[in-house]
Amino acid sequence: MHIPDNYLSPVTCAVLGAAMLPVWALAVKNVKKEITRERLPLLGIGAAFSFLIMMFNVPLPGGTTGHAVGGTLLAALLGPWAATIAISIALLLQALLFGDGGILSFGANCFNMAFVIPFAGYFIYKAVKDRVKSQTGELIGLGVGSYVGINLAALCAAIEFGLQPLLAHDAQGLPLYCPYPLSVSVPAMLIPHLAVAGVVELLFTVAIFAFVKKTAPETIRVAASPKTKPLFILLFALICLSPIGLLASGTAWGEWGQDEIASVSSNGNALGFVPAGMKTGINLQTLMPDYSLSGLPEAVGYILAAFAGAAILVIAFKLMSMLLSRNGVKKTES
Amino acid sequence: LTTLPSWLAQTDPYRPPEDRDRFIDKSLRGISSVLGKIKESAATPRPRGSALVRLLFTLEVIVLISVSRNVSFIALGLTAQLIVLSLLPARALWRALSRGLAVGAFALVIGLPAILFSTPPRAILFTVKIFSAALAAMTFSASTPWAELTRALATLRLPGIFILTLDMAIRYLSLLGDLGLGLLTSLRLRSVGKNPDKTKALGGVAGTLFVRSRECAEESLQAMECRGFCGDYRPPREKRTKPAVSDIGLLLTCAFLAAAFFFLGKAS
Repeated sequence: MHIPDNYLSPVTCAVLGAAMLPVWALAVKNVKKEITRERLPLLGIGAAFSFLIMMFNVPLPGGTTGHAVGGTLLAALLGPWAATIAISIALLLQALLFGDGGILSFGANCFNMAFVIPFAGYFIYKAVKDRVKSQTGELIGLGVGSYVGINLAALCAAIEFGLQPLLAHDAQGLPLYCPYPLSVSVPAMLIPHLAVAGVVELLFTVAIFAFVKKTAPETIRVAASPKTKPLFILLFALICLSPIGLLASGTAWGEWGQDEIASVSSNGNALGFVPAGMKTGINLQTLMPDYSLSGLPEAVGYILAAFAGAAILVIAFKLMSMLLSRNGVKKTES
Repeated sequence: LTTLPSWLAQTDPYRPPEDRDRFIDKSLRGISSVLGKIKESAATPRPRGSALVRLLFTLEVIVLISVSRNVSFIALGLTAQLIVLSLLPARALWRALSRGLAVGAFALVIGLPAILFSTPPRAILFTVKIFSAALAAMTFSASTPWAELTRALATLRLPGIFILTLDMAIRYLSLLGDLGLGLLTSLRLRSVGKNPDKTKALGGVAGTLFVRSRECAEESLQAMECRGFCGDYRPPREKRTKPAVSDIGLLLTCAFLAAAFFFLGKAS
């Protein structure tokens, strides 16, 4: 998953590098708070450990092997913020000294492997661990977290690759960097990760964690729950990036309107008619048709729609969790 | 005189069932290659020029070639890189070139459908750019001992804590790598016959490595405190000396490439 230079355009690299700056700043701040001066050398040694575990090959059924990233494992052992720093330093060493992963794409690699994997993996691990309070629950949480974490990172890398033909092309529309669109990059990245790399990560993470937990449980950091602030920062960044959708010509597959369905083609033949059900069915008038508001530029409309959508979802989930916890309280009272 | 009992004179028919231990071999190979590179880097003779100038040249070449869409400029940049590469000692030269070619070949395989099915075959440039960036990074790495890299980063005024972490990571990569190699070798020697629980065995090796890394952190802190460490680390910077000929040459090439980029422009 180490992206070398020139697969991504310099603008993409700059955007992802800029997205990592606040994450690194927060990581340093939190690690300073959590890891006192006494444990300062742990960061460097953690980075060395992170580098080395990427060298280990995990046996898979059928005699094949694969290597893991260990992001969720480090997050569970050292805490997600320290894991971010350790993996970032390991990636920097790999880029500068071993030519593994690019220098310009360092920010993108850190975003995928040092931010998405440890945080996604850690949140899932914590969520399962807090609900299923047994050692099996902890290991299941870790397994699911590591599997989802690495696949989420692969999806991020696939989206970064797949956006390149839209973001960077010459006057004739030919791509300047990664030449494959999302329809190629997403399956190309996700299928091997879902089938092989995810399993490798899961086996590796669970095996090491179970060993450390059994032999030296005192070395595992007592995890303080990380704040949700970074998730909100990520959400904010994604909202700001939402107008990227404007770059794509045409409508997303399956989202055609009445005026577009007739021109949808299959095997080179246009459909040529509007299905009766669509003609006579319900035609919902939304507040923001096509994410646009009259009198505002389309990009601003997109950002507003993304903010509104995100806010509505947060409100809905908060209300749902409140209702669920009330029911829970009632049940325990009765 | 007593004779050996017949059962003792017989050949032991024990033949352990065969098992594939490729994961141990591959892990051993991976860690050995890292250790080999660390040792090679430590043995790299200290070049005359400044590591900072080489770092700036590398970054400039990578950024300008990545941004440029002009075939002539990319050819010019690549030529400058090849000239710098040709000045390296043979071993370092091979290290840089082999890595660059490997990354370039992989990019060629990835980009092949796009090269074959598009006219003009613009995707060739994509492959050339990837080769060029990998070559630039590896030329820097092959010509710069690691201690000089951290000194160059310190001269760029990066925070002391960052340099300390990086320095420590390089040192412990070597120490923990040696330990990992020993653990894997012992696992290899003890793996007789079929091992149905390979993943658990690997978990033991990597887990032991983690526990040891925590001990190392404690020990190095104690050593640091004994030497008066109070949380503030001021890394050594590059000493200002008379600029070497190679530095002047690299700086002139940097200026030339910047001017060429400016005049040839971004567009093809």
